[in-house]
Amino acid sequence: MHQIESQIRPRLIHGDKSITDVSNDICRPIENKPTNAWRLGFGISVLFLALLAGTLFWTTWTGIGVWHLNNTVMWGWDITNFVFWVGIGHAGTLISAILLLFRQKWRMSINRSAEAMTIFAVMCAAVFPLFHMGRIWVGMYWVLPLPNAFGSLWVNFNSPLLWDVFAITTYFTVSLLFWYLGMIPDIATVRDRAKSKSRKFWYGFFSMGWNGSARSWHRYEIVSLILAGISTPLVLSVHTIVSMDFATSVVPGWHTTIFPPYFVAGAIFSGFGMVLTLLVIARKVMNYEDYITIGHLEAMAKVVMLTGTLVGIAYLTEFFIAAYSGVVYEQYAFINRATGPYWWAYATMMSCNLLAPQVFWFKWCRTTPWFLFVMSIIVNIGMWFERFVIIVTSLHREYLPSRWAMYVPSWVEVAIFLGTFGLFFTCFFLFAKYLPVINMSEVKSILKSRE
Amino acid sequence: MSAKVLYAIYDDGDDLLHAVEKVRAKGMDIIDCFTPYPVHGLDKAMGIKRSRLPIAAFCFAMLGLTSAISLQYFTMGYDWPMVIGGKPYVGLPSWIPVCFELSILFTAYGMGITFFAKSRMVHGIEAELADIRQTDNKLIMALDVNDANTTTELEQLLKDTHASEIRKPYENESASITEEVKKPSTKTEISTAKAEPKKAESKFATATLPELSDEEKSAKVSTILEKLGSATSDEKDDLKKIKGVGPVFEKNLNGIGIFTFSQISNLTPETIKLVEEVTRYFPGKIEREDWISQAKDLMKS
Repeated sequence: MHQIESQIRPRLIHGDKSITDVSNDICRPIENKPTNAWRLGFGISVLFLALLAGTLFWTTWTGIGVWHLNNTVMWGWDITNFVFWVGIGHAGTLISAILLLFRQKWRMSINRSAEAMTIFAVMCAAVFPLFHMGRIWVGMYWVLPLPNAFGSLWVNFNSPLLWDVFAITTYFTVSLLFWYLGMIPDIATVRDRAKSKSRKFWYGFFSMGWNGSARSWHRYEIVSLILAGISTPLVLSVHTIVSMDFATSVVPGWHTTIFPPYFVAGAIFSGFGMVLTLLVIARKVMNYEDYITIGHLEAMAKVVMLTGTLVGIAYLTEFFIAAYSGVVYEQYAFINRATGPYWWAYATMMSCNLLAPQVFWFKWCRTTPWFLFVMSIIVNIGMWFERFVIIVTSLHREYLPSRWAMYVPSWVEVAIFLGTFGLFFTCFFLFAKYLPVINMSEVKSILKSRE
Repeated sequence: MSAKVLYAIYDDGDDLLHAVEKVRAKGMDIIDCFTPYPVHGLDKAMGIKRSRLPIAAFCFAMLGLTSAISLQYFTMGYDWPMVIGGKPYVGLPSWIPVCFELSILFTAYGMGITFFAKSRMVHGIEAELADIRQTDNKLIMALDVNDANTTTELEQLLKDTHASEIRKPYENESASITEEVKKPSTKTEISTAKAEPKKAESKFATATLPELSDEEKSAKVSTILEKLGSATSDEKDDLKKIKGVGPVFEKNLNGIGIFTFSQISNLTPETIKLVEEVTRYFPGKIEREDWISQAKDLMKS
């Protein structure tokens, strides 16, 4: 059964690689000493991680009064950052699960790193609600249905905040399993190529005795397909539930039924933005241009444009519905977003998310790596501001003008946010050094096929 | 019942798939195949029955759903009912998200654990490999060749399907013909099938030719190098360019001081025998694959 090869479409993997080349190329960072670029990047990331540890300690030690939240704006940078990071996490599962179900073979060079990104992003996201609870040492009883000594009170299953706990933990653990399962054959490859004792031991330990038997592969593919099948609704449910944190409340600007699809589209948008940021750099630094080709970048740019436009339509729909509803509070909330004291945040959001991605109608913009990198940063700035606009501008002028207030973050909040980038990149650098960044076994199976 | 295992080693998934189809058409038993990547259609060609894992997935999903409903009913409706926002104690619609998430969680981990259990995978277990390259760049078919009459024909078939190496269990009569391996009871049962190649392999690799003492070895190595001409690792050619030489064999050759194509082109039947005795690896391979003229060609280019 020879693969049917299209004469028109370019190959997925360039450079006429053999399967030996794939192993050699992908295992290179693992088998060699870290490069200076890696050391520098890792060092800076660890500094930021230390900043995170310090500021979180300070927050816990002193209390969340060190943040500038107030009675009116009780959610500020913390929840903005939470939603921001969770959103970024969505691209990984989308790429590996939904594109698997659609049999999109171009996913195979990027799914591993995108899934890793998912896991690290969700870890960063979890920091914020945990520390927002203030007394995190009793927080466990507030979020988990554990029998407790505080009068047998249970958690409230009617609350979207609790749904969030279940959604995020399920998402994290299932993504972790999916990621690890996908990596086992590759870990086995590293194990069998390993020369040093410790590498043989550790990769041997985590490869769980994988030997590439056809029967194992048969089961493996079924399990992958089922995991993809359940991860697809899962990824949609997670950001749906995150959006319900807002949508089920009665705050003007939050109380809208459009939130779930709009948040999911936004999550995919920002997730692909982050994948682009990482991969444009990684393919260059790690010399993977034959694996992560311009074709891959272009496909991702198209997804960014589609989801950016979806998000843009959602912004306009919200505005229209507010006007059409005849509810003065709702109308004021939107006028205030666009022209109130935080107008600059709204303008940033609109230009970065709705307007900027429209450049991807032009092929040059989709196929020029440095430009894609700039765009990916713009997308992420825009998506951060979207969450800031939704949260802060809705809260700061609610129903009663006597309650109106302004919100400016404290240095601790800013430092925690910067620190989560340290956590994210520390994990990512470790991943890039110690694990195969590209799914070798899948890439080996598509060497001869075309897009 | 006893079984002897023959390994046919391929470089390409399509070749392996063809070979499996042809071998099965002849009515031979394929114990298992080992591939570094999933070869599409191989499971069907080998006649592996479709796994029932999806049924397990459904059961785990139902278990998750039941657990979620029980948990929420117990806490909200039975153990400590409270009026929150005027909502009923048992409010099924607002329980849907948690029911959904727990169903997914149980399915994923249930499936994962079932998969690992069925494939006998656990952390720290030692992998049972027929060849160290099977997770890297070689595809291996393990055949049950109990019926010795078909072997020549079989060998021809394997060569015709572009097998790059064939490792036979009967190279050395005394050592391997008595080798007994328990035959798997059913073909779909992975555990026994997987365990076999390991047992067989460890014997074959060492048993085909007798082990030499250090003195004998060094004597033979020096004879070889005398005949072939010596070389140092600085002059090293990429011996893997010779079809049939993989990284493992290259290392073996380098280990006894063979580094260049010119040395290999100088091989004679006599020195080939010595090399085989020293490396104790795949007797007959060098002549079968005609390394000498391959090396000569490579020297020219």
